[in-house]
Amino acid sequence: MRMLTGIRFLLLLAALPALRADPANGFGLTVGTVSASQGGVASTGGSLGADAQFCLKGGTWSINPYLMISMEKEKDGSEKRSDNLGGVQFRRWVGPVYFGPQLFFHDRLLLSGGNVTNSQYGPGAGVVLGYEARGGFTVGAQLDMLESQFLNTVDRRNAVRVYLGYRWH
Amino acid sequence: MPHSCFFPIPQPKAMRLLVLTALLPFAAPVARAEDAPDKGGLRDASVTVVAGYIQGTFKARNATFGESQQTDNGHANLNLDYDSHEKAFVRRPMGVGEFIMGWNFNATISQFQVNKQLETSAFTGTDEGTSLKGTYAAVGPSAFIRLGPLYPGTKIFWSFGVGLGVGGTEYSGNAMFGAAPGTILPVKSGGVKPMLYETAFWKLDVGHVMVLFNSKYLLIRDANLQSSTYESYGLSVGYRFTF
Repeated sequence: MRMLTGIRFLLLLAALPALRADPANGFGLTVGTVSASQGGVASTGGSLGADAQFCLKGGTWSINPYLMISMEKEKDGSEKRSDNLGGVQFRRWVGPVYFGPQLFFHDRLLLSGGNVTNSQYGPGAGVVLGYEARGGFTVGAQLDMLESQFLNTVDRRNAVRVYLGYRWH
Repeated sequence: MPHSCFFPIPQPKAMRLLVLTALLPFAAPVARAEDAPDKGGLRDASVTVVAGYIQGTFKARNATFGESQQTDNGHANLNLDYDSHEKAFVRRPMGVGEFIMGWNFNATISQFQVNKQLETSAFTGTDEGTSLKGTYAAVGPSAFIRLGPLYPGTKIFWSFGVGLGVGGTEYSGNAMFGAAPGTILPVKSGGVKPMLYETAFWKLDVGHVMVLFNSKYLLIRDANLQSSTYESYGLSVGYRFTF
């Protein structure tokens, strides 16, 4: 029910006319934190990202291809993991605020004792929400959901990334 | 399980990518539109020299001795690509530049050499004294989406695409089949073997220079093995000569 309410809210926002929507093209870099859960195992860590923002005509939508890496540590274990994403975000702009869906391909590495002991990969999807000032500074969050090793739903991972960044307009 | 994916880069390599990507804004001033002969976002025919760091894995299955997965633990790589003149299915104006869905024909030629057996690690192979070396060439159509330019008056574009083709490969060497300590057997194509070729790419063009992630997958028809494939992925930098 809560998710449905959230979706309705996002749809309502998407239907609004542009309110001084003023996104601009440019490269961006972000740094932030990530909190994830996979198969009941929680992990937290840092995240780095880079993207390019291409605005559609009218400025109410932008397409943002991006790359992102993380380094995480399990909360109750010694193993580390890294989740690397290559994807694209479809951002709807309402003034300086953006939100929208994202699609990505991920590769998740399990690291133990400095060695990669396992890798899982496949498509994923999620949503993104953020604010970008005209000067280029940005703050945002994204949900990385439905990450699975293709159709394997047993070991599915969900993550939240919160980040600060800057865009060169 | 060894991987075959679009973006499976371990941390040090991914860090190199981020550093390269971070440097792209500074490359913008040298990528002005007048430097390139292409029309808008569509490209003329070109030859691209691509150099990068990739990881390649050759997989084979023997009916008696089981599977072999032999990798190179990552290596510097050089290959040559040809792209025909691009055509558009769809062109739509954007805030700056345009959105293009297009297609063209590509040809590629490259070499591979693997010498580490994947045993307990998904990425890092173990030296068991085996080695396999080969060459392949392929041709086929590609479909792509391109956005840009990123900044007015520049030639900075982002593209994503997939390609499918046919080609031939020739290889020889040996490989360890089955769980370690397995059975080392000679592996030889005995001439050029036909293959199917699949590729996916994600790239940023800055004028004639490109930063490229791509994966390549060869499905080889080899009567001596139940199945054999070669897959590679990695980060490369290319220079495009248009004509």
